[in-house]
Amino acid sequence: MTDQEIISSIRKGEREQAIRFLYQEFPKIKALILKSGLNEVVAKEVFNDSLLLLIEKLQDPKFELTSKLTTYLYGINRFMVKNEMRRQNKTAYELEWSDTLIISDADLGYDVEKEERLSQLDKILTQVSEKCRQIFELFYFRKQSMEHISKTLNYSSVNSAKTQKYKCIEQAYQLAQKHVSHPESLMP
Amino acid sequence: MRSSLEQFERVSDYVSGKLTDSQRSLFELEMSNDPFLQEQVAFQKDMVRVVERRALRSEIGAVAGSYAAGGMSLMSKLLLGAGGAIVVGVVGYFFLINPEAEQKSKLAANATEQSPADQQKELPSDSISGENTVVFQPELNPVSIHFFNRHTVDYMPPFYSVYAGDMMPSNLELSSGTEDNAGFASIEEDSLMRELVPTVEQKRAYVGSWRTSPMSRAKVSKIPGLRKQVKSRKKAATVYVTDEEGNILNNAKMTYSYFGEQRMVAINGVYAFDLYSDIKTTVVIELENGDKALIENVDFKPRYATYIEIDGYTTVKRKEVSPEINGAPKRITD
Repeated sequence: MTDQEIISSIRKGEREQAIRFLYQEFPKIKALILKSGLNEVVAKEVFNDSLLLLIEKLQDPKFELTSKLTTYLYGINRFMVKNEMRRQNKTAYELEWSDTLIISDADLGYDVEKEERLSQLDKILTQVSEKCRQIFELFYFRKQSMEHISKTLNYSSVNSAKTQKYKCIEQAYQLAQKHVSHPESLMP
Repeated sequence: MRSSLEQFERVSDYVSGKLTDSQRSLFELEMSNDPFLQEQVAFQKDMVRVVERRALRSEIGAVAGSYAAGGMSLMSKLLLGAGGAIVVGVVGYFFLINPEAEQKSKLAANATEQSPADQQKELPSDSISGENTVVFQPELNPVSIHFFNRHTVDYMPPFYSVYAGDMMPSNLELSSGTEDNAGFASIEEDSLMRELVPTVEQKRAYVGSWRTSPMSRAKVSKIPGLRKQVKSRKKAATVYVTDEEGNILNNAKMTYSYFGEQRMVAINGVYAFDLYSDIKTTVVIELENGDKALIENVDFKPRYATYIEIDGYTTVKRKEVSPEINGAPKRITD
């Protein structure tokens, strides 16, 4: 696949083939991560998270790629490895990544505090009912209409589905207030 | 949340980009003077991001899983690596089991097409079969590094006890020897978890693991005859959990162990309970001769918990780890 084909398919929501293609870089990047002093489990986490950040960037229509896509992927991995090393109080072996694109927090739009908030919210999602998670996914991710959702999830009417969605959000919000020490930290 | 359903829908439409230009302008003007509205918008935007990420992680995890296919499953490797031995130091940890975990993405996508039976067929070989299936999909549900933040993980959950060897993630630490951490978790407790989880309704539950704090351990050790019997490895005492009315809870398993150096007997156990339940329990230690000691009001509920998702399971670490124990164990036989 060419870079453009990958970007195009990701923006169309057809991501599987693109992910498979990009995942071919995993063995080489894993080797670099291992040489940096991190273990295999972390290497996989770092790579998967880097891939996630890359796809998020590519989904943004304003994003313009200024290098090869795989070069950018290596750059994100380098960034994530440095983050991880910092968190583990380890010294990063920059030598291993010397030929890799240097990407900053700003380039990537990566905000540690924001990531932490999203992580908290993600944990909260595990506490809401399965029905609520389904509604959230169908509405927020699949972008389905409430009419469609009410049929898919067997609600008696669209209004019932809307009310349930409202209750679900309210539940998530309450949980966020309960579990996040500073509720205002949910603000962007 | 002080919003009405109507306002919620407006926020929802704004976040989803469904408002017309004029509606959007009006909404933004209103929002500029209303911090609460701003908060609601921010919250829903974050929700969108998180839901999208979960689905994306699931897709990436599926590809990652196919890369790992061909070898042993991660769980098999871990269990073999541990060799069935008693493992690592760990204390209070709580589990929120989300059996369908990341598979929800596929389920939602196929909700209109698949029957439950079809969905069941998708379960990987590591799954525990049965009516209340717990899906363990280490390859399909990769762990996020965010969940292994050492600032939030103080205790190793039992599924990670099997990481005791060289497979332990370097970004996790064992917190040995802390106030509540004089005991040991074992592979056996993993088995208990697996045994208990299917007993919980709705396929979702907290599974709490509770063990005595040093103080209560000292009290437990004073139960006449118990320490001696445990030390001599006699299966002389049974430990079980009851509700407030004295009914024995079948979804709780307790064991005891003796710590020679500390001359202590510790009660360890796991307890699966419904997600929103708030049950006060009593741990009962019953000796062979019928004597009983009670540790009352053991609160398993993971209040103020930190949630950590691991391989399709979600652990919930309780910040206030000491179980609530009111008073010393008491003899009730006389």
